[in-house]
Amino acid sequence: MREYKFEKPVLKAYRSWIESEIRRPEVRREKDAFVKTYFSKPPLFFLRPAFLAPASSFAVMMFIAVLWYWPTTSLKPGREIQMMHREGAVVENVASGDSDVVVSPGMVDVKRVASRVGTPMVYYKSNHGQPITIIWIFTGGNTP
Amino acid sequence: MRKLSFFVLSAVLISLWINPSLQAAERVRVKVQVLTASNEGTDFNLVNDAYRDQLIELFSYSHYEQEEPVLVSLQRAERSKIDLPDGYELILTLQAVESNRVLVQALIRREGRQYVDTVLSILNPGVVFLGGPPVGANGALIIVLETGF
Repeated sequence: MREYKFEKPVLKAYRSWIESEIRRPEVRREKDAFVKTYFSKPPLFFLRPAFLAPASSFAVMMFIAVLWYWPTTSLKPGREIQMMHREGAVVENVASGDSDVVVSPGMVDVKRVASRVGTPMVYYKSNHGQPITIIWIFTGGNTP
Repeated sequence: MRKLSFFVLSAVLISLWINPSLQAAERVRVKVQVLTASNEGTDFNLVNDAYRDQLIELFSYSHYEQEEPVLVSLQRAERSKIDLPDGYELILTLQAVESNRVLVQALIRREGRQYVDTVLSILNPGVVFLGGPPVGANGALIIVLETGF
């Protein structure tokens, strides 16, 4: 396509006129008003998907890690044996340490017991007709 | 949006600040009695001889050695570590306090190995025996946990 000598200066003049038009304060104001009316503000940094997606996945990972390593709510498999049985309702004083402690059959409820090195056993042994809760870990020797 | 974010952040910070002060009220004292039992010898070296008959009834060892009792004040969700003989350690965590019961987690471990991990709901006052971890050649560790003494 042939290019005329006057084409470049004319295009340049046209471009500068357009730029000067766009930079006019009233045009700017109108543009800002238009954007404000029809476009919502960008969300704050920590509410943007680019931040929320990795942050939430990191939070989930941390939650799983806490569940995994926290002894209270361990997800790790462990050998668990719960042998619980109740005896008849007996209440009497048992001397322990410097004070007398009143105990009853339901004195201890073993909610959970697990061991990594042996077999745990929960049993009640009668002491003067009084059931005492004992949790014993059988590690292959040293039986009670 | 900015106001909402500010409100949410403030609420989180306030709840973080308030929570520990609410939990501070939930404290439970636990007495930890540590004994090592074995069949080597026939001595009963007990701090309190009241335990003697009870031990004879409950276990069949011939020799018992009792350490000085340890008093631990447990705060909710806070772990208390007690050093035991032979490198063992006992970690107690108060999980909940109900009207007349306390929910306590007891963990006995040595060198990263978990010997027992249990969650007990103990009537306050109450007593429970934990035992079995080997001590020495033929001995065993026995721990007595007491609440509400």
